[in-house]
Amino acid sequence: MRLYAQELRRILKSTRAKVVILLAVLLPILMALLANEFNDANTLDSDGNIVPLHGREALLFIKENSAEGNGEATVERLQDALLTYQSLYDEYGMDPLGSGFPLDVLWREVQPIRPLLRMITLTYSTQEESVDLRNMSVDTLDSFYEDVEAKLISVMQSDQELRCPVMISKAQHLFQKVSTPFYVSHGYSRDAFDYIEFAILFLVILSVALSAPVFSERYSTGEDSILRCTLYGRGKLVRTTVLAELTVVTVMYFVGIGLHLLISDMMFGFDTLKESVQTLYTVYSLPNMNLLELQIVLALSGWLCCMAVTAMSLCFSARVTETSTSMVLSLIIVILPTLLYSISGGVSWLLAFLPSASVGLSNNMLMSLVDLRFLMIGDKVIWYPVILVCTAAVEFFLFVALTHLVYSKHQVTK
Amino acid sequence: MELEMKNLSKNFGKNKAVNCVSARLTPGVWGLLGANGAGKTTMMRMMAGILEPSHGQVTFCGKDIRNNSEYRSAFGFLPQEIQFSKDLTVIDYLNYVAALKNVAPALTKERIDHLLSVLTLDGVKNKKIVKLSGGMKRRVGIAQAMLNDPSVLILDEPTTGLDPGERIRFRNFLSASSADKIIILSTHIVSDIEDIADSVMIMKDGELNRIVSKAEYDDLEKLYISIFMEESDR
Repeated sequence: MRLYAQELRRILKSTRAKVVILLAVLLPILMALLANEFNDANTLDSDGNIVPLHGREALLFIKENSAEGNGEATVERLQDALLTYQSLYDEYGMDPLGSGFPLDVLWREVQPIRPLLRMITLTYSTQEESVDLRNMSVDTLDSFYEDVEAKLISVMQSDQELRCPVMISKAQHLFQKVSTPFYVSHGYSRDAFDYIEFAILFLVILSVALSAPVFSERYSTGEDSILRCTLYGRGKLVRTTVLAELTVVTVMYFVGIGLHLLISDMMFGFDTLKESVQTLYTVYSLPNMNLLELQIVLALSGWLCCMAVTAMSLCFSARVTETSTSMVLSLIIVILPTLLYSISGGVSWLLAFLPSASVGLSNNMLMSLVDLRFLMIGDKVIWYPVILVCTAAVEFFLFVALTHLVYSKHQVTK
Repeated sequence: MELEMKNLSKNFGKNKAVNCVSARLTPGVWGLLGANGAGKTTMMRMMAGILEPSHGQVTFCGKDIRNNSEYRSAFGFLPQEIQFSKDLTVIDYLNYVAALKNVAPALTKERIDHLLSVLTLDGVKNKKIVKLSGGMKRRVGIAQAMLNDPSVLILDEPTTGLDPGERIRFRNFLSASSADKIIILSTHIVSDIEDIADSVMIMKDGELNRIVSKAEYDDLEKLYISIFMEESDR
């Protein structure tokens, strides 16, 4: 405990840690504020002129005009929404979701039912053509949630990588666990969720900046020669250093992501977190979660990834004597999944086994949850997000053990 | 108490840095003299247990020093070249090393205060080590090596960077603390050890050329030069 306290003190006193921790607090806050900047809306002033709204002002306006539509997306409400759409179409002679529709009516009548109309459109449109809402029978919606499942199957059958029957069966099994009716609570944007992933990516990079130089710096300065020949200078020192680094990274991560989520949720409103993942993303998404649960899963999986990447950086650091080499190697591993995903355009076991597989741009945990991603092992199908969590956990323990081994076996030759 | 090197060798590729060195060290101050590149540092690293020998072994009281916690509890080491963590103060660093050496918490402050006073580091204890002069840094290095009051103390070129006054103070300090300890002082400067070493090991080309006790030489410098002249005469 004494050594652990000393090791923590040593880390926290370093200029590098101070800068990294400061960035870990400021960057997620900045990103949460930026996420709010993507809201835009047009309204009319008292003279009938169009007034563009932006940022928080637009968000409040959208939320105020959508509030009436919040609640469970029952079949009855979906049918009412379709009827409203059709009557507005007939009354104004134009598509209420198209451009040129009177703004005041749009906000008053269409905005509250917009998420419901989107769900109907996504469910009944085909790859070839969009559903004709104007002529659609409301009775079609009697079996809406069964039709969503059928849509899921048809989407998978039309995708070359997903058409395998066991994958479809697995997806069906997962979808059947999703609570219905979905819940609509308009306000939170997908951009804001992208920013959560950006914040996690930055926090992982900052963790690398903190942990990659730890042992290699001791080697390159010669300090290792002193520490290594003390009573606790090998096994106990490496275990304590790893534990202290992981503690600092964990606290830094949760403070950073916690502040990001808190600010983001305060701006969008905590009430919006009740919304189902399916109403914000694709209607046939597989996670049985609302947005709050999705945020928790993203934050926890991000933390697990952060731990795996930190352990990997420490392992590199224990192996190489140049700080810059350890840092560059670790950063390459962090960005490699994004590169591999953009080159291959899909997931693979190679990608999944990188400790940073769940952070990045299109390859991140959020996209893995809301997209349909699976991998096969023999004739078994595993949902990709589950693989990401398992590989990160395995790699964390693997790299911690390797760090211990590599550091203990290091020989002072320079 | 006895520290023994048995047929100790270290090869780096085809280069034999240390070749078949055997010696038995008992309490006292031991000088390790040799030109740069003679293999002193490699030998000290093997004695410190931070470099694995290619052949042979080092034993402390009859037991191999590898994974020997008794040896590491009783050991202090000052390497030739070190840069300290740039963010730690003298006192922070000594507290950190004391924890690593498992110096009892109650004793730590007393030991640190004593060493700071003896090594005249009192006035800079709250300063960052990187901001100290070369001589002061060296003294911090000596202080960390002495923290656990070691029975075996290995100092590799300890006087590098010390001014003449500091060298004298260091020699006096070492003489005063040498009772019942095996102290090994490596240097290529004869005057650093000739007054305080009870015995001197002279290394040349990775081999232990000879071990001479204080009683066996009148002029160490003359002896040292004659050993190195042998080579050129041949």
